[in-house]
Amino acid sequence: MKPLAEFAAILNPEDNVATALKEIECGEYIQAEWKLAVREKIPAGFKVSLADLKKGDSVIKYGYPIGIATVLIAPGDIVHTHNITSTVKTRS
Amino acid sequence: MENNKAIISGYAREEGVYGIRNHIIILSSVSCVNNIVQKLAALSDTIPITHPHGCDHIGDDRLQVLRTLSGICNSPNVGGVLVVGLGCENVSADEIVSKTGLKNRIVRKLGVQEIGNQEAIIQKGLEHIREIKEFVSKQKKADFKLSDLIFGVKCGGSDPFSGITANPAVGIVSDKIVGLGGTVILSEIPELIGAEALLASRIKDDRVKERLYSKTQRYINIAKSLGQDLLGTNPTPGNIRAGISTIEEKSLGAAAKGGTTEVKEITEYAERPKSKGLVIMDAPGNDIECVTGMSASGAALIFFTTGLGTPTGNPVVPVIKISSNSKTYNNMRSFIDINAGKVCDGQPIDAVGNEIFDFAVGVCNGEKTLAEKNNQWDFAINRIALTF
Repeated sequence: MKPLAEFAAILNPEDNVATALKEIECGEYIQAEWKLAVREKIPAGFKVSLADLKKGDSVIKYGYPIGIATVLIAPGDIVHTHNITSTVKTRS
Repeated sequence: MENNKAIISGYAREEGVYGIRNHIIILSSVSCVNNIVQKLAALSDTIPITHPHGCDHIGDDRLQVLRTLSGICNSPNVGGVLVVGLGCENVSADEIVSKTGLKNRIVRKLGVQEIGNQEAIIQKGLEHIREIKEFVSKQKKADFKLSDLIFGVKCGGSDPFSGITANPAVGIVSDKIVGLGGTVILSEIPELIGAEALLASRIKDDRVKERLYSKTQRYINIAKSLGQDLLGTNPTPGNIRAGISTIEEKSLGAAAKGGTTEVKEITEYAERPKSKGLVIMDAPGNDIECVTGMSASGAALIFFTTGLGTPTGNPVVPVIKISSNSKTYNNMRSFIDINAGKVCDGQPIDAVGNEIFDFAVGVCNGEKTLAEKNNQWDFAINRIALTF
């Protein structure tokens, strides 16, 4: 099992996504005392979920919401425009 | 960081403002005299500052152009100024000269219509420059604290690594500077749309909070008035292809440059901050306009992070460029001072932050950035109205 920290950055302790510093291959990764099973390749610069997110849950990076989940997201899933959306748009 | 590293040898100007260079600039008050400014600077090995403005401005736009031009003369890094004017422009050389401080600084004016003959103009200009050079060469250096300086933080040509390598590394430097008692200017208002909640949580004064929201809303409204949805095109298709999903994510990554401390003040473009600590200046994301605004607001040194790479520099302020990834660093070695892409290879971000800070202390004490070595003298004034 590889340490997640070698492959991804968690920018704030409250974050529920990590950002890939280099490509993350499928497999099991370990972060502190918990394990993360990555089932799809995460390219460098893309995000991987660290938590179970229900539709409407906030996606947290930098300690702040970067949007909300539009579908169910499982730990290890890639997180991008297909499963999250901005909440800023609704404000304007 | 050792304590003695925070002591800088530079130049004392007015109101406790300190600089790290002693530049001589030849400045156009109006575009009509740009050619004369270029000739004088080439003949005297000084720094020309030209621009396409200086006349037919109205209201706040005129004041902003004036504030920028007098602001660059008042840069703590400037020891000598020759302002070249035409004579009939509405941002006049006389007005710029009258707004330029004289503490450890010499200012002269050259009026083109007043003298008339080109040869006589050049002769008179060179005479002024000789006098300015003599004054500047006699100026004594002074020791002061790093915290007496104003710093700017800016990003340009960002990629998804900017928000996880270079920007947080510069954020560490921002926190360090603020912790020592210094001032850091964060800017690029359109790049902060979606990060207001983060920044507002670090503002104590409700009026400053409201000001932040009104500044981001202003850019959204300007785009709307032009029939554009700023939020519909941001993040850009390129950002999305590279992994950035939402405008919040992009903006939070940009805001990371400012570190984590309280936001004390929101300043106008090219306005000198009144507060110590972290301040936000109203400027667009445009690299040159934003860096110019910072340089005209008293910044002595600017940290500039880049994902895709850029040559950016400033006529009077050293710009330290930091790449977010190793590929760009290796591709643009003659432009980029520091590679924060090492974070992706396992180097702790704190170590990169320390490397940037130590490099900055060296630059404060005279070491040249690549932009300085390249004579990269970019200058562009942010306009808020049409020319009439």
